[in-house]
Amino acid sequence: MRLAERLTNRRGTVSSWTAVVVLAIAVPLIVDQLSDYDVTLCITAAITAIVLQSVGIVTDRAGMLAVAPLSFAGVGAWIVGVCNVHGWPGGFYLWLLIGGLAAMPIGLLVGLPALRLRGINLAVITLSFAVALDSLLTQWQFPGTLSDQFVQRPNSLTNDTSFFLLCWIIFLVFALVIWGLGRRPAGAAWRSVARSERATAAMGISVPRTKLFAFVLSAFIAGISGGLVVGQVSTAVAANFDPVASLSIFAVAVLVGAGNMEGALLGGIFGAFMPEVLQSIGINQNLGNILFAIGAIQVLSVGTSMTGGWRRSLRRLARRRAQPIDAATAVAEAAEVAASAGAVAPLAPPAPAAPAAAAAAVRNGAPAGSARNGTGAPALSIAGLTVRYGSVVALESVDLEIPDGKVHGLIGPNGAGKSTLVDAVTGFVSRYEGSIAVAGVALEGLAVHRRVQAGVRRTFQQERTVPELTVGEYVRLAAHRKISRQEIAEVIGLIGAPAPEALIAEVDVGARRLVEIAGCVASRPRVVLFDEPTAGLAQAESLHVARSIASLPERFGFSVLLIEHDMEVVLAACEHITVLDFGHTIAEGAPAEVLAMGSVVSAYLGEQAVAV
Amino acid sequence: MLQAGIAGFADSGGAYAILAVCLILVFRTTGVLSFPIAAVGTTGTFLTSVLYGHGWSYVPAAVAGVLLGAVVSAAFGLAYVRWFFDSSTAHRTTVAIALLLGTISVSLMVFGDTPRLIPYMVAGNAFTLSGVKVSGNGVIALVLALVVAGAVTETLDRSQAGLRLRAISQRPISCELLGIPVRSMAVTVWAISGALGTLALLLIAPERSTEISDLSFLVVPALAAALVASFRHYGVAVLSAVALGAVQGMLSYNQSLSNYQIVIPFAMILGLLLWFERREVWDEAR
Repeated sequence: MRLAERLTNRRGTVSSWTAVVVLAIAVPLIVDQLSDYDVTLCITAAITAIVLQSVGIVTDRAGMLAVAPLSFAGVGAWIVGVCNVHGWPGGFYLWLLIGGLAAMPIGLLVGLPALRLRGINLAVITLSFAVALDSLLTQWQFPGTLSDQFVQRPNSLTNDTSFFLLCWIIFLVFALVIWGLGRRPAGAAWRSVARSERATAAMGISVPRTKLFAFVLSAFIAGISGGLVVGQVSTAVAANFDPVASLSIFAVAVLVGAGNMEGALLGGIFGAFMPEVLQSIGINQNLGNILFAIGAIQVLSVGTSMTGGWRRSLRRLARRRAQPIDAATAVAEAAEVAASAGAVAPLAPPAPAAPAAAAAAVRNGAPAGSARNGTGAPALSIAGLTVRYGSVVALESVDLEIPDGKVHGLIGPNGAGKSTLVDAVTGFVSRYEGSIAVAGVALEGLAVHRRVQAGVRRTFQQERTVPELTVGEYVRLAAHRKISRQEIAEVIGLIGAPAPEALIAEVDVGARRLVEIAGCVASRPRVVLFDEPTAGLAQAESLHVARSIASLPERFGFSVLLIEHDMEVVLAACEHITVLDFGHTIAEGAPAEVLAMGSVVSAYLGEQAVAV
Repeated sequence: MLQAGIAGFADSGGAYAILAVCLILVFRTTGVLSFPIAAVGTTGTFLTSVLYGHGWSYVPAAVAGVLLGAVVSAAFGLAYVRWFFDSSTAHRTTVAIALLLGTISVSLMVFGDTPRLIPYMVAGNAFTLSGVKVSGNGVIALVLALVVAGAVTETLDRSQAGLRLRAISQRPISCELLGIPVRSMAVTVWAISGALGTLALLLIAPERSTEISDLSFLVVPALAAALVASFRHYGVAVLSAVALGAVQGMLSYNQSLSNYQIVIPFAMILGLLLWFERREVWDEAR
C-alpha cells in the first residue's frame, strides 16, 4: 500500500516538475514573439513576481505581516544608482547583487522588533518604514538624475527580450531556492513559526533566528527586484516604491498566495497587466487596487488564497484517482473500523516485529540517556520546584525523578500545576526556584530551544503539527538533526504514523498525534513530556496512542512524563505516577495503588465523595 | 525653535491625538487596529472640500464629510462583525491593511489626484503667546482630543455601555452569549471613530499636503502615540501625540532637519518595539 502511495505521489511530483520545466522554457519563447511594448509589460510582470516572492516568504510562509516590500526594493534600486554614479567595478550584475545585499541589514533592522512580539507589530513598523523611506527617497532623488548619469545595461542585455530573460531566470532561481528551503528544516520552520512559536521552540528551533532568516532573505529578494526596476528604465523615482504601491503588492500577495511559485507569477501578471487592461477600456487605474483589496479581503474570509485553493483542488482530484491507496483515507478507515468494533486497534498498520532492528538503529544513534551513556543519572530530575505567578503559587517544592527508560504519569485535577511543571522543565516559564536536570545536565539558564537540544521534548494539549508540511517534512523538522530519508520512514513506520508523503492537513487528529510522537522520537531525546496527548481523541484512538507511548522507552530508550486525565490511558501506559493538587505532590507510586488512595480520590471528586 | 515646537505641539499634536485615541478605542473594543482611520478621515475631508468648492458653507459641508467618515467606518465595522468576528489577529490586521489600500484607492478614483483646497475650520491664529502663533485649528484639535480622551475614559470606566465595551474587548463571544448586542456596539464604535477621524483630518489637512495618500498615512504618527500608550491609556496617547507634534514642529524650524520630521514616528516605533521585546514573550496559551 505504501509503495503504491509513494508511486502516486512521485507521479504528482514528476508532473509538477514537468509543468515547471515546460513553463520555464515556453515563457521566454513566447515573450520573444511579442511586440516591444508587450515585452516591457512582461518585464514588469516578472519584476513584480519577484517582489511577490519576497512577500510570500515573510507573510505567506512565516505568517508575519510585512507591508513594505517595495521599500526594500527602493533600497536596492538606490544602491544600484549609487554604484553607477560612483562607477563601481563589476557592472550591472554585481550592482544588482550589492543592492540585494544592502537591503538585508535594513530588513534585519525593521524585522528586529518582531522577533519576540507578534501580531500587529510588524505591520505597524513596516508601514511606518514605508512612509519614512518614501519621504527620504523623494528628497534624495535617484542618484545621477541631476547629472544625467543613467544606469546602462551590459551589452548582453541591451534589448528588452534579453533583459526579460534575466528577470525570468532570477525569478526561477528564487522559486527554486524557496521551494528547496520549504522542503528543508530552514524553510519548513517558517511554516512552523506561522502555526505556533511555542511548538517551534519546543522542537529545538530558535524562533528569532527563523524569523530573521525570513526577513533577511525577503529583503534580499526585494532589493534585487529594485535593482531590476532600475535596469529596466535606467533610473527610478520614489513613486516606484511608494507606500500605496507596497500596500497594493501586499494585497496581491494575499490574494494569490505569493508563497507558491505559481501565486507569485499570477500576482506579477495581475500587477503588470491590470492597469493596462483598465486603461484600455477607459476605466480609472485605481480600480485595480480596489479590486486587489476586495480580493484580499475575500480570500481572508474564505481562508485560502487563489493558488492555495487550486492546489487543494488538485490534491483532491489526485486523491480521488488514487482513492484505494490514499494514506489519509486508509488511516481514517482504520480508525473507523477500530471504533465501530470497540477494539483497541491501531490507527495505522501496527509496528511489526521486524522493525526491531530499525528501532535499535534509531536508538543506537541517540545521544544516550543514563542507560546509554553510563552516567547513571535519572532521565529527568526535579528538586524543590516552585513556580509563582504573582501571589499565586502554581507549584511548591515539587520533587520528581524519572529513571531512565520509564513512563511516568503525572495526574491531578485542573489547576493542579501539571502544565506549569511542563512549562518550567521546557523553559516556557523561566522564573522558578529549585533545580531541573536532564540526564544529569542542569537546565537552569537555558532558553527553550537549548533545553530541547539538551534532550527535553514536549507536546502540547492541542496538537501543533504543521498542516502545510508532509509527514516526512515535519519529522525531519522536528528531528532537528541530520536524518536520512530512510530513517524518517523507519521512525514513521515504527510509530504507525501516516506515510511520509501524506500532507498533514489531510490526516485526522489522531494520526497527527502520532506524527508528533514520531517527530519526538526522531529527535533522539532523553525525555519526552506529553501534555494530554489524547485530548479530543475517541477512546479507541486514545488507547492506541497510550500503547504507542508505553512502548517508547523499550523501543527507543528514552523516558516519558505523561500528563493525562484519562485514567484508562494512565493505567495502560504508566509504571509509576505522581499526583499533584494545588501545586503540591499528594501521592506517588504504582498507578493502581495511587488511584485507590483517599487523598487522590478526594482531590478529583471532593471530600464528600470520599465520605460516601 | 521653541516657538516652532509650541506651534507644532498644537497644530499637529491635537490631530494626532484624536487619531491615536480613535485607534485605541477601536482596538480595545473590537480587537482591530484601524489602519484606515486617517484614510477614512481623508475621504470625509475631501467631500467637505468638494462641497465647499460648490458653494456650500463650511458647517454643512463639514457635517456631510463627518457623516461620510462615520458611514464608511461603520461599513468597515459591519464587514468585521459579519466576516471576521472570530478571526485571528493576523487576519484582522491584514483586512485592515487591505481596507487602507481600498480607501485610498477609492478616494483617488473619486476625487482625483490633483491638489485640492481644504478649507480651514477656523481661519488664522487663535492667539499669540510670547511671539508664538498658535493656529485656531490646532487649538480646536487639542481641546477636542482632550475632551474625547476624557469622555472615552469616563464612558468606559463608569457607564453601563463602557462596562459592556470593556467586556466585549476581552470576550466577544461570551458577551454575545450573555445577550449583549456585541455586533451593533462594535459597529457604533467604528462609526464614532470614523466621525472623529474625519474631524481630526479636517483640522490638520489645511496645514498639510493635500495629497490623499500623504493625509491617509497620518495614521503612522498616531500609531506611534498609541504604541507609547500600549494601546491602552488614552491620556498617555494624547500626551505622546502632542509631544510628537512638538518635536516635529521643532524639526520643521531647522531647514536641514525639516525634511526628516516624517522619520521621527518610525524611529519612535522602532525604539518602543525594541524596548517592549526585551523580555521573551510566548504566543498563545498552552
